Amino acid sequence: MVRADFVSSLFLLVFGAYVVYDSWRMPRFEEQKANVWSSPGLVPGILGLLFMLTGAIMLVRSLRKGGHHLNLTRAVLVEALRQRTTQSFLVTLALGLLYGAGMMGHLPYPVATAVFVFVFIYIAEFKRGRPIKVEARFIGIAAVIAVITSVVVTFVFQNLFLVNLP
Amino acid sequence: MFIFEGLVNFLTAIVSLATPWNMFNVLWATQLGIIIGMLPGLTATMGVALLTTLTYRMDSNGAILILICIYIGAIYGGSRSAILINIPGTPANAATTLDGYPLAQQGQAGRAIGIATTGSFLGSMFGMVMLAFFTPLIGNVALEFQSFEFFWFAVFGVIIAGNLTAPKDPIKGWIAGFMGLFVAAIGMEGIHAYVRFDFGIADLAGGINLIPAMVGAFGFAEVLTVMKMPPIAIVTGVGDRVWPRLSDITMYWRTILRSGAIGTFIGALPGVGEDIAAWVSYSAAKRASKEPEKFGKGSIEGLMAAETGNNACVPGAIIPVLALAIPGSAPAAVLLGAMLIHGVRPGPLIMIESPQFVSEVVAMVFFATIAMFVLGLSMVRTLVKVLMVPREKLMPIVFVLCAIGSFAITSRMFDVWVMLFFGVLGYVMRQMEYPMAPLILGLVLGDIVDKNLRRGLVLSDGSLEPFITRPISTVLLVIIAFTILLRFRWFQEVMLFGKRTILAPLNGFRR
Repeated sequence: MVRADFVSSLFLLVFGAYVVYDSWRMPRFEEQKANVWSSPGLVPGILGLLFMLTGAIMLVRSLRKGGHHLNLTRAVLVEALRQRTTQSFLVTLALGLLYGAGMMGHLPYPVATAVFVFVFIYIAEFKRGRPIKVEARFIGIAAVIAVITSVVVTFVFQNLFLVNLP
Repeated sequence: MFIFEGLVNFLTAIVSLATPWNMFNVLWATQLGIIIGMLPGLTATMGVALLTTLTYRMDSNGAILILICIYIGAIYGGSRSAILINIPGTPANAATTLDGYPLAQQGQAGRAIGIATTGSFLGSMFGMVMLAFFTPLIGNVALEFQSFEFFWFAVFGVIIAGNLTAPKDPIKGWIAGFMGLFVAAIGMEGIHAYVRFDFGIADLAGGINLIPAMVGAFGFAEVLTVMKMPPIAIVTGVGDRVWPRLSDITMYWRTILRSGAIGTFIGALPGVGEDIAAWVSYSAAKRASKEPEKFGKGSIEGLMAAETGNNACVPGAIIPVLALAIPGSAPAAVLLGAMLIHGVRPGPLIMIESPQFVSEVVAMVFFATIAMFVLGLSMVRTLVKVLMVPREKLMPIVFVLCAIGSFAITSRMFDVWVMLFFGVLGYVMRQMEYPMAPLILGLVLGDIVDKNLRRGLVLSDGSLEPFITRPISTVLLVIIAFTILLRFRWFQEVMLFGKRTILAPLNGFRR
C-alpha cells in the first residue's frame, strides 16, 4: 500500500497545484463591484491547497516507508496479469467501457444490451476443454438470459418509464 | 401537546399512505431490498441509487416510499449472507458475521436469522421514534442557523465521515471528502454563474449529476470488485426454527435499547453510516455483557446488538437529511438526492414549508419496518437460493441497469460516461483504501460549503470572527480541530502530558 500511497501523493500534489492555479485565474468580478470574497475561485483554491497539503503529508510518509521503490518490473506485471482475479477484473472493465461508451448510442439499444450480456456471461464462465454438449448448454443459457434481459429492460424503460432509449 | 400533535400527524400520514398500490410497492420494494442486501457486493447505496433512476417518473411520495423500503430492506438483508456464508451482504453487516456465522455452524442458522430480524425490527422502530421526535426539534434550532453554521456543519460532516470511515488512516477519508467537494465545484457556480473546471467539455458546464456519479461509485465499482472476488464456496442451510423465542428478546432488552440509541446517534452524525453503528453497538454490548467471552463464538447478545445498531442507524441517518439537508450516511445521501429530484426541499424550512412531509417519512419508515419483519421471517428457505445465483450471470444485468438508469434521468449519454468514470475512480480508490462515503458526502455538501463560506465572508466583509465566535460555530470548530489534531501523535502526547500534569496532584493526595 505504501507504493500506492506514493503514487497517489504525487497525483495529489500535481492535481492540487493545477486546481490552485486555475482557481487563481478565475475572475473576481471586481469591475462589476462584486465583493472579492464572493469570487468563484475561493473554495476550489482552498481545496487545491488542501490537496497539496495532504499530498505532501502522504509523500513524506510513503518516502519514509520506502514507497518510492515502485518495483515495476516486467516480471511483476506479467505475474499480475496471469492472475485469474486480474483477468476477470480487466475483462469486466473492458466490457463495461465497451458497452457504456461504445455500443450504447451507436447500436440499437436492445441489440447492444443482448450482445453485452451474452458476451459477458460467456467469457466469465468460459473454461477450456469443455465437451461440445456442455459448451452448447452454456451458450444456450447465456443467450436466453441475454435475450430476456434485453427484452425486459427495453420494454420497462421504453413503455413504462417512457424513456427514449439511446 | 407537541407529542400529541406529532402522533396525530403520524396517524394521518399512515392513513393517507395506506393505499393498496402503496402497500403493493412496500412489499416488492422491501423484498427487493432484502435480496439486494443479501447478495455480497450489492449494497444499500447501490440499491437506493439504482431505484432512484427507476422511480424518478413516479410521484414524490411513491418514489421516496420505495427508496426507504429498499434502504431498510437492504441493511437488514445483508445479515442473511453474513449468517449463512460468513460474508456480509453490505458493509453494515460485517459485525453480524462474528456471531451469526458461528451460530449457523452450530446448526442454529434459523435462530440467528430470527434474532437478526427481530433486532433489525426493534432497532428500526426505535430509530423511527427518534426520527419523529428529533427532526422537528433540530429543524427548529436550525432555523437560527446562518451561513457560518451551515458552512461548519458541512465541513464537520466531511471531516467526521472521513475520520470514522477510514479509522486506520483518516487522512485518506479526508482526501476522499475533499475530492467530493471538488467534484461538486465543477460546472456553473451559484453566485456569479461562472463555469468552473469544465475542461472545454460543454456537458460539464451543467455540473456532475449526483445520481449517475453514485450509481458509478457504488454500482459499476461494485461490479468490478465482485468479479475480482473468489466465488462463494458453501451456503449453510437453514434447518431449525426461524421465529424468535420471546425469552431471547426480553433477556436482552438493555442491549436492544442501548444499541438502538447508539445506532440512531451515529446515524444522525453526517456521513458516518450503518457499518460504524453496528461495530460501536457490538463493542458497547461486549463491554456491558455478563458473558463477554461468548462474543465471537455465537453470542445471541452480540448478534442482537449489531443488527439493532445498524437498522436503528437508518432512521437516524434520515434525521439530518430532513432537518439540515445533510445526509447521515451514503444511502441517505442518495435519498437526499432523490428528494431534490422529486422537488422536495429538505432543510430547516421543511417544518414550515411542508411539515406533513416529516410525518409521511416517519410513516414510510414504519411501513418498511413492518414489511421487513414479516418478509424477513417468511420464505427463509426459498430465499437462500438467491445466494446460489452465480455472479457471472447477475453482474452483467446489474451493469445494464446501472447504465440505462444513469441515462434515464436526463436522457444524456454524458451521464452514462459520468457513471463509467466514477465506477473506475471508485474502484481505484477502494483498492487504495480510500473510503467512498466521504466522497459522496462531499459531492452532496459541496454546494453548501461553497455558497455558505462565500456568503459568510461577504456578510462579514472578509472577517473570520463570526465563523469563530458564534456559539454553534465555536463548538463545531473545536470538534473539527480536535478530530483532526487527535490523529497526530505529537498532539496525543501533548494531551497525555496535560492529563498527567492535571491528575498528578490528585494521585499524590490519594497516596
